[in-house]
This record gives sequence, C-alpha cells and structure tokens, in this order.
Amino acid sequence: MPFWKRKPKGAAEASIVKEGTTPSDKTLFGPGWRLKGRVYGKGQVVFQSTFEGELEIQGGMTVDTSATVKGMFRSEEIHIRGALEGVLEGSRMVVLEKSARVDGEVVTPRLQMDGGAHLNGSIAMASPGTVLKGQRK
Amino acid sequence: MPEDKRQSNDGPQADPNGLGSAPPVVEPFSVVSRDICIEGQLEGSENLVIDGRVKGRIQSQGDVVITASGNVEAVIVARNITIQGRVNGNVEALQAVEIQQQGILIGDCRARSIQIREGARFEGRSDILT
Repeated sequence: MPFWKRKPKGAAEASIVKEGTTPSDKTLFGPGWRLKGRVYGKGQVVFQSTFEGELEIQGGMTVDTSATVKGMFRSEEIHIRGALEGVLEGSRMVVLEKSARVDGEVVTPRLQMDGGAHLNGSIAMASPGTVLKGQRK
Repeated sequence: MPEDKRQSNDGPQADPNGLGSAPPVVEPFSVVSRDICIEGQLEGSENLVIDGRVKGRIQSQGDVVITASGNVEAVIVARNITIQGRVNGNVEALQAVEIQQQGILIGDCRARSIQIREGARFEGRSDILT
C-alpha cells in the first residue's frame, strides 16, 4: 500500500494528498535525494540532499546541514548551513550560518556570517535592489 | 530505508519536514511545490510529492505522487506511482500504478498492479509484472 494511504496507530489522518489541501510553496529535498539539472520558479527551496546544477528562484533558498550543493545559485534570500561550491547570488541577503562551508563567489548587498562559518573565495557587495548578473528582469 | 523508521506519526513529529500546513504523514517525503520547475535527474530513496513541473528522469525507492497541479514530462521508476495530474512519459512501479480521476498518463506503464479510475486518461501500452 502506498505511504500516503497507510494509517499508523493513533493517527487520525495519514494522507498527505488530501482533497482540498492547498499545496505548500515550499520545495524540499530530503537527505535521500540526488539531483542534477536546473531548478527555477518561485517559492522556498530547501536542500537536505545533494544537488549539482543551476538554481534560480524568486523567493528563498536554504542549504541545510546535511546538504552538499554545487553550481550557480540565484535567489532573493539565501541561508547556508551545509556545503556549497560555486557562485551564490542573493539579491536581498545571504546568511552563512555557523555550520556553512562555502567554496566560491558570493554576490549580495547584505551578508551575514555567523561564527564558525567557512568561506573560501570572494565576496562582492552589490547595491540593494541591483539586478544581479544573469538574473531575469 | 528500513520500514520501522518511517512509522512514527504522533505529536510534534507528525510533520517531519516542517512544512507547516501539510497534514500528518506516515513517512518522510520530499516535495516539488506548485511554482517550481525542475529539469534534470532526480534520484532518491524517499517518497516524493510533485505539485509543480518536472522534466527528465525520476527514480525513487519510495513512492511518487503527482498531484492535480503536477505536470511531469519524465520517465518515472518508483515503488508506487499515483497520478492525479499529468504525466507524459513511461512509468514503471515495483508495486502499483494508480491513475486517479482526472489523472492523465501518456506513455507506457509497467507495474505489478495497474488501476485506472473513472475519469482518468491513459494512452500507451501496459505491462503487468509477474
């Protein structure tokens, strides 16, 4: 029986695909996933997985502690807790939390680096509201 | 992933992904939300719910659900596959494929069991695995 139909003990409702449910605007890839390619659109994207490719999101992106991502990343607000290699462009802000390990280039008008975060590469401070290189207008 | 690790559904652990509005779940699952497009390859061991668009190839040891807003142009290989939206591509399930009401599958289908509900559309060849 598929996972969304199973009813565990004590659970009133086990379905995740209930009729009338409004889909969340959060995209999430758990630790068991490996992705290769291009991700684009709007909303929030959370990686706990491995990803290699290009991402362009109108909204936010989070690289969680278990995630390893590589490529070109463009979003409004970017939070890094895991490992990232490549180019990171946050048109509003970039936050490197204490467990972040970044190898590459960061371009943003506002950068927050917490104690313990590692950044090996370059930082370019852009003017707020600047349309970043390659970003769709 | 062992089955016993995926059974907890009580209390605060009912929403392991922290998706807030999502109803309680039995097992961890990943989500492609409505306004997101993915072009490429997705390979994983967990369940996947697709509200958005995916083009390429999906391979999962878990279950894959394409919801009513989901639009997939890909080959899908998974344990169970449920189609409520649109799929253009061949699908193969180790266990079951279910095309629900309003669901569309344009492509070949291989599975141990295939269910096509009233109002669904299926164009392709079907092959029952033994």
